[in-house]
Amino acid sequence: MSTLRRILLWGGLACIAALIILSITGAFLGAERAEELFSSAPLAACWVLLATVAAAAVVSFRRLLRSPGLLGMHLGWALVIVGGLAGSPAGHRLAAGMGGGPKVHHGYLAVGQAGASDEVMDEQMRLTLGRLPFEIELKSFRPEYYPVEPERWQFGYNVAPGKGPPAEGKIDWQLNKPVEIPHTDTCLRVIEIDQNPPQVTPAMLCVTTPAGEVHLMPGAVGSEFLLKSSGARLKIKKVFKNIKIVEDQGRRHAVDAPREGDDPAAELEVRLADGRVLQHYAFTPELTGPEEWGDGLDIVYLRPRLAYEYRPLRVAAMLQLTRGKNTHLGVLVVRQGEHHGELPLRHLYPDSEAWKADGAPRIFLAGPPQQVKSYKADVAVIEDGREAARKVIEINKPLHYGGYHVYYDDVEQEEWNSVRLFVRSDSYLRVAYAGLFLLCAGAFWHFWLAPAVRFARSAWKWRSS
Amino acid sequence: MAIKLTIQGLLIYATMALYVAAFAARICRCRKPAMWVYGAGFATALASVVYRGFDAGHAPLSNLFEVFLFLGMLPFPLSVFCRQVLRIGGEAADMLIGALLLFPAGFVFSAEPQRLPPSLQTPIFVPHVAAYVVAYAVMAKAALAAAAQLIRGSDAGRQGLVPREQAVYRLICLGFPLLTAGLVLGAFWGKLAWGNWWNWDPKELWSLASWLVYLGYFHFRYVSQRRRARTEAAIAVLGFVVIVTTLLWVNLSKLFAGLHSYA
Repeated sequence: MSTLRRILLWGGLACIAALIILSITGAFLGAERAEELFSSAPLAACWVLLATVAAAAVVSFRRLLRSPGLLGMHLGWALVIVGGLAGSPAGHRLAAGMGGGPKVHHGYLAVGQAGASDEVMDEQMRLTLGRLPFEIELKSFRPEYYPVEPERWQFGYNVAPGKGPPAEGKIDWQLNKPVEIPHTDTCLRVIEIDQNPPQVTPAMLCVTTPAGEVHLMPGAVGSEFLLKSSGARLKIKKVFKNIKIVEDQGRRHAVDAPREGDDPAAELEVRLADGRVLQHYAFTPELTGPEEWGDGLDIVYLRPRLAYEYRPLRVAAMLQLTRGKNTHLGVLVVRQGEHHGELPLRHLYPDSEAWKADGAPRIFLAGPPQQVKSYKADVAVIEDGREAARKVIEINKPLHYGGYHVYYDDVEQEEWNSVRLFVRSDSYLRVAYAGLFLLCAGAFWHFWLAPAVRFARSAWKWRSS
Repeated sequence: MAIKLTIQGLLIYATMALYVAAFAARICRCRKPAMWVYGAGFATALASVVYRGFDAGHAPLSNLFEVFLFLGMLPFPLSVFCRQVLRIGGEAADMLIGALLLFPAGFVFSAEPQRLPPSLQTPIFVPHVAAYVVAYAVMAKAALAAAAQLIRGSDAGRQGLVPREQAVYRLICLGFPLLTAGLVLGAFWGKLAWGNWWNWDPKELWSLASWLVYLGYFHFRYVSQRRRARTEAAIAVLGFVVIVTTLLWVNLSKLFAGLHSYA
């Protein structure tokens, strides 16, 4: 081995040893300080030296030229260093100084719902680092959560009767089965537990059979429902936004007067099993309470409900609460990001004097902490006033446009309508990627495939001979 | 330390018992029965990994419990591959190592299934972690062979097996591309998830250090013309010490908080 080659080999070994020590030192320093250390001028010189040693080895050792695997690894190593150096903040400054035009290396963008921004700021969102050649508009943002098994939701009660001490506990519940709420004279029936419910709950009809079964059916015109127990078929003929009964020439009939009030209702046709057809109206529970029909059915109309105020719902539990002859239909909700929701039973306990300052008894719903499945931010690139690109970005799925990668970074938890995006320049990324690919492919070729090919060839020769 | 009286726990303990039984049979020179029991241990370990995958709803490589569970499945196929292809022995040690690897999964780490956090939901997750885990198993075997060489010295090989120095080299040749793949896949993934292919995270830096130690092994072996077998063996052992640090210390110690802290 010539002296030059020996020097190169020992030099390479010394570089590797130094890099091992520096890597371990950097691990103890933490990512931020390690980056500062490895980006410092003396170490930048070391990186250049490392790349030079690898390139010199390719020139000096003919064995490397004959072995594609070793050649790939050495060239790959050099390319990774070159790509890393050129793509670094210092590399960007150097390129700008050489007339390449200023390009922001990385930074953060704060974008509100339906807002757009091109202002790249530092991590603390105080300093403006530069501007992108395009704007990023946030169309919408939504987190998605893993669903929780319904049985992991726990109902509980909280009562503060005037004489006794406050009491709180769990309610042993089952779907569609009435259970007594301890310390009260009220029965709870959980009709439905809906996870990740829509932002607007559509109108519904709640039908209670004489046997106590509760059914929900869509409250839109034309929807039909068959009651298996009695064979009766319900059909919604008309929906009123504000029902009003008027008398015209001695006949009473219902009309819709949407501007005069807010008493929604539905006109129903009930086809009984014996062929009789009845016409009835279903009103909201607030207006009349549940209406008992001739065949023992209780039917109430549940108005469309805006469930989304400032944060979407995580779960909505449809409940039927009965105290004596009073029945109340209520919805207990838990919002996204929370794991507890309450419903005071004011409608059933108007006599609040019997209860302490806290008021009527309340039931609550508690579930396990929520776990995020993904964050989805629908963003558009606005260039010259028009939409040039659009993508729903998630973690692991950034948007790539105009020399930048745009990533989802964080969300303003209180509002859920302002998203922080991270942008990073892609300059010289392909050089680094090519180096990484060569490094990996070279290692597999040299250590796995080349010996396997050699073995296969010798086995073939041995068999042939 | 807690005993897991669940199907998962029982599968782990059954595997450990079978590995220990295989080891006992092997040192009593009952080679064939030992391999059968060893194979049964592998089947149980495989069942344990598959069960975990169904229970958790994702590939069981997302935390240290699952990584050790996966590691516990590897000794048997590695032993067979080494014996049949690389002409390397050491099955008895592999059996014992298999039982020891399952100890943290059986008694130390929580088996509570966890849902995948958003950052782990990518096709790169399984190949990245699997490449590392298999590489770690191979390098552990290499370190054992190297330790034997340091303690007992070089040998000339026996029963059709290669000498210890060759065994160490062949094993490192087997594991090094996997270490490289783990590093490179991690770089591609880092770019997708965090915005940069290299983030100077403590786990990344320890991984780089372990990769560099083996890179140094090859360079030293070439420059020394294979005349310093003991130093080569010492480098192989050092490489495995760095791997253990990367796998355990970085994740368990608060000293190295970083992007990989969830692992």
